Amino acid sequence: MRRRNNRAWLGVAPVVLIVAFSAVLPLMTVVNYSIQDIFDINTRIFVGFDWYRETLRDPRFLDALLRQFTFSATVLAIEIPLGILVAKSLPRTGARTGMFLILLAVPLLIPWNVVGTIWQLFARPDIGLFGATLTALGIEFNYTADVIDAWIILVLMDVWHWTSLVALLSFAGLASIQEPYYQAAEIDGASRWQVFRYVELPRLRSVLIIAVLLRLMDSLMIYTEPFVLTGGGPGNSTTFLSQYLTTMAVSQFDLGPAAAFSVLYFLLILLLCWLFYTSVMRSAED
Amino acid sequence: MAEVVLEKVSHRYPEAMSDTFSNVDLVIEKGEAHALLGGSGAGKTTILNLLSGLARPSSGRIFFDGVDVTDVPPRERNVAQVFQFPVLYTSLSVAENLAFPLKNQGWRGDRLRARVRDIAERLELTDCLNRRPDSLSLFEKQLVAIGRALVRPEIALVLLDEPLTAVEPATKWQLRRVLKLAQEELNATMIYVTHDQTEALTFADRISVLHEGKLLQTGTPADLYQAPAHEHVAYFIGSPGMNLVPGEIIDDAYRLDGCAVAPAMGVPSGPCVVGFRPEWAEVTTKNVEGPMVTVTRTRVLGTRDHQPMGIVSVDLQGQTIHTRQALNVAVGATARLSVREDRVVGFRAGIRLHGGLANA
Amino acid sequence: MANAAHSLLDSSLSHRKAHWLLYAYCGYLLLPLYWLLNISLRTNRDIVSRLSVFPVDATLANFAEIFTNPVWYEAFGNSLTYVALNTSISVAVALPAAYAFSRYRFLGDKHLFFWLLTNRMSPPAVFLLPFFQLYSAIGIFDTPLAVALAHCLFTVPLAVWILEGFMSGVPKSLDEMARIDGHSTNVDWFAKVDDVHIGVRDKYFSGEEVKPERPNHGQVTHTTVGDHANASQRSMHIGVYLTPPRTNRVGRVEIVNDHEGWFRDRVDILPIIRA
Repeated sequence: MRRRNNRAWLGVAPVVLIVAFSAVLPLMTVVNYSIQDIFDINTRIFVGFDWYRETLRDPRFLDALLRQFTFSATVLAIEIPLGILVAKSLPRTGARTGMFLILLAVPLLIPWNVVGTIWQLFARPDIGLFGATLTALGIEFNYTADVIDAWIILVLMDVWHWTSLVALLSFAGLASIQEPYYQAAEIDGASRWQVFRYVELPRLRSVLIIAVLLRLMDSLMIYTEPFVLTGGGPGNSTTFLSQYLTTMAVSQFDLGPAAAFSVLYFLLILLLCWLFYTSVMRSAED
Repeated sequence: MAEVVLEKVSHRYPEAMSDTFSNVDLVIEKGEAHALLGGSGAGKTTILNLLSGLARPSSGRIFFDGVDVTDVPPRERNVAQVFQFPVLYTSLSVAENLAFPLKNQGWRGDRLRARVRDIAERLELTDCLNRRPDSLSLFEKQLVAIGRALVRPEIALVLLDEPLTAVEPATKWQLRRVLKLAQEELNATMIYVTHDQTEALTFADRISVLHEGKLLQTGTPADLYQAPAHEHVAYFIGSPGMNLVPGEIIDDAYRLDGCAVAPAMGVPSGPCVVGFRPEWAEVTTKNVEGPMVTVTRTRVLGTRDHQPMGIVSVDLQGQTIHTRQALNVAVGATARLSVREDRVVGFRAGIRLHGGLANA
Repeated sequence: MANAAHSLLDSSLSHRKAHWLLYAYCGYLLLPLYWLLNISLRTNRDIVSRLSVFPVDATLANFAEIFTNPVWYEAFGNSLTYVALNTSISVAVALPAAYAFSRYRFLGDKHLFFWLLTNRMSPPAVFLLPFFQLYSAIGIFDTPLAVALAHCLFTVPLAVWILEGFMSGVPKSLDEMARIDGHSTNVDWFAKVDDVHIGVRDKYFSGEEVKPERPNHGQVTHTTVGDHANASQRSMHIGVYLTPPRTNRVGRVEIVNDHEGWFRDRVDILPIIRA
């Protein structure tokens, strides 16, 4: 059992300091800016929630929000089931299992901008295998010009990048199921679907919660890969929240609205994660 | 419930160099509680897998009530199995767990509920019916696993693979009691695998002792105790096991160190192993016939009429022998070993010799 | 043992479907990587001039360029620098914190842990603005140290989370199995329940045979048994209490001593073995 000892705060102090420096200080700055109108260093006016109201009414913000939700929902809907299926199709034990696991882990280890570059090289209609093959088959494919093509390639890229995470987590969950559980189900006359639902899914539950939470958070924050691959284009069609915010902050130097946007963005993610988490925890209780 | 016959069954794992066991012949009667007793690696779990259909024998046939089931898959054999740890569906309640096999057979409604309640009552699980498995103790969970095995009335047999392993020592006996009760009342053919002789001897009508892939002996607990067919059986059963002392048969008598200890009529002379249980022997300083031994250790177990009783360990030419008697000899003393003549069992090449033996 | 049975059970998808899916997915993962390799081994002119599935005129010129042209390798140097800084800071800071979280309870510990994790949820874009200003103000703008510190926002909580998990990783204590049974006594093989001849051996009891009068339904009967093995030589009553009532094959004998409640013990009754 853990002993009660308030001097343990000494051990935690460095972490608190560093994270406070890296996170709290900047956040405080952001919140500060979000409620003021700043003309220059010395001229600031308190404007209350004006910037928040403006952001929430900004059609470009709402567009980006819609795009973001569409994107996150799509990739989650593909990555979770696909990851589970891949995990189920892996051999549980044996020499080849290690080999497959390593291969699965590779996309997770690649720097995110490199992921964007890889898919650029792969999807371009002139030099990319994917792009050129489609063109040769008579299918028009140009992700820099066509909105649907851009979305398709983005989704393909994200699935390529992150499904392995779900697969590896699910595999760990499945591998923890001992043989007798399958044997007993076989003896009970359970169908394959029943085996999945009553033997495998309960074990996968805690693992899947983590997987969904991580994917939800990270897909809502996505920036590098779409930026490298499509640059937010064609037009605005693949500009998601992060990129929009960055553009606002960097190129326009409109500190107030950018700050308000930032706060809203952060709160949105927290809210969605909290909603997911509590609804899942509550369903565990019945 | 069914009668189970194994006919010349052999099994070898795909990558193994030799058979796990070969040419096993075994008949288990309908409604019999049968134990497969043996150390780890003796092949007991393999036999269970062959009976449940999860493995196929390399040769030989298996019959349930005269029907050849060797090629029948598990779900059609109507067997049930209880494992070493409680195997339950964790997302279902106890009642739903018990109902699961029945539902897959098409049971519904009142008939289903009545059966679930009946089994739960027998196993004293009625209060737990609506609870989830993770709120139960290990003991209760294993009871539910047993219940699930017993719930289908048409099952041919119930297989138990060391079911008491996960249960804490203080409650093992309770689980044994419940199991035995259920077995008797339902007249279930149960095959129970274990390495613990207490479990086997308290549960089974008959026991098969397995050792290194061979079925050494099948018999009632009394048979095994008093007339072991094989040296290993004699050694394994009993605590401490039977004394197995190298000796010889000369002039129609078992001899240890030259001294006759028991008659051996009709048995060919020659070296042999003389077996006798500790309670059938005594070490005494009185002048009796018998080999000379030196007392090496005594261990108190109790008193009888103010006289301490226990286990006396002696040395006879480098061999250690245990007797159970009054502790009236001192450590280091020289004494004589006397053995009850009608209780000596002779072994040669591991097999029990006929003649001059304990009553059959 | 597990492997033998496993080969018969389709615990994964059906074999053919599983194979097909797995290999298709592996192909999906490998194809873009292969293409990357392909492109990396060809010159720019070659790449643009035609599309070839295999690098026919493979060359290592591009890799040579990376290692010789400072524009490229300096970038590696920068990355390595800031990663080294970030890793050392993160681990140095996370270790004592993880230790504290796993070994001690202190005021606000759960809230602190949770707050740390929420930092993982903060979108990096939000910090762009303030980081500009903050690091410029301190004068470390445009240095690897700044990047290292900035990344601590994400890496430190993760490090604490993982390290704490390892440090407090105690195998789930199987409390039930660890509890030691108090007195475990050997039963003499001469126990015979229906005649109720119970010979009980234990260092406190004599080996005298006990005959309870009416041994069923949990009734307690008393018989004088014998003397204690030590010098006090007191006689005691032994109550033999047979439970459960419904079977006489196996059960438990509870031996109580109504002299000061000295011994409470339970003994297994084994089936009939004649002496």
